[in-house]
Amino acid sequence: MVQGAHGEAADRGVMSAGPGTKPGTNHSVDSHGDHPGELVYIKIAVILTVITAIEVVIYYVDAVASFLVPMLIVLSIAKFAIVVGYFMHLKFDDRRFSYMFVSGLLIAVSVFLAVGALFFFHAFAIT
Amino acid sequence: MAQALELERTHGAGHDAGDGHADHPPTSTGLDHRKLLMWAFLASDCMFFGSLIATYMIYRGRSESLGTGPFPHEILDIPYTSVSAFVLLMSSLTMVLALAAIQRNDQRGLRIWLFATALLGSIFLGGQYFEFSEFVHEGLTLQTNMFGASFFTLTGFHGTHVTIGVIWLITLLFISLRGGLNAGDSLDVEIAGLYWHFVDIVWIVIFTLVYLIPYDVVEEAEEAAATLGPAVAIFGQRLIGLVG
Repeated sequence: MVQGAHGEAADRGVMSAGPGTKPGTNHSVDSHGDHPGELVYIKIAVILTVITAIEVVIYYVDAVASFLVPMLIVLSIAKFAIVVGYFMHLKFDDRRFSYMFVSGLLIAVSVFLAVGALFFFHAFAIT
Repeated sequence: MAQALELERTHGAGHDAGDGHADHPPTSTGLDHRKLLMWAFLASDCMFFGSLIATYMIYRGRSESLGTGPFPHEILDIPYTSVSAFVLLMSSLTMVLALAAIQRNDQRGLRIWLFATALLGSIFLGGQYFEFSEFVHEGLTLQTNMFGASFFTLTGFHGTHVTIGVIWLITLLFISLRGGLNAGDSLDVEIAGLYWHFVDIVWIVIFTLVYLIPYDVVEEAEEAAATLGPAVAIFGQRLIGLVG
């Protein structure tokens, strides 16, 4: 009980100080006091479902064929960001968790682009 | 606010407020290191899947030149995979509802949502098994062509991640049924949830890049690159000549 009361009080206090609190302070910065409620989670799930439905529908619509790839990529990035931000709570947690994850993500994207460039532009080889 | 900070001083800086791990020593970062470790693992897993997806994107269009089918546009079933994607998305919702339940010490809610998440994950795995079986039946295996090799490797590793996640969730469910999970252990569920949501976001990317982006678009991009390549190479050579 003591812990529970402490948790709730500390959540409010710490989170109001904002994320990214310095190490070595008395702030417990990875608390979940500002996590959204269940209604928000359900709304997020509805949004994700709608985005997925849009992705599938535009796949079959010839009128948007020339914009299909950019639209799919934008919608995919939106879904990715929503899940990471809300379901994984990165939007509400300490920023150092975000830095940790984004650093790996950036390396992954860089590898993806580098490998793509290497193979798609193989004719670039200067002899 | 002051009272809250005083409580923090009393209990130490290292544990996650509300997670019940009051006996954990303070950490140098002020963050729970188990959670930090999970984020570090997920970052490394991003690189793992980034490499696999890049390999798939490179190889899927290179089977045709070898003349060995089936090819992606002949075999990928978009409506079927859309349902799988929806199932996995909904499992993310049930997972986060399980976390919300344990945070308010709602044991019944926790068990229901953990079970629902594991069930949805199992349905996804069943769907993947059926898809793989159909592909093999139609002649696509790991050895058939580059599309088959890279497709089965990528989606197989994702399926392995989902399997590990389902085992993890069932383990948590059993611990909960034995009375071993309460509000103080919410971080255990949160860390499992991070892993599960990661599996979901990987599928979001796979669904778009592997299934939805049309096969001929990649082909056209390769043709454009092949056309553009020599021109850029000449430009590069002249640039190097100028600099040199």
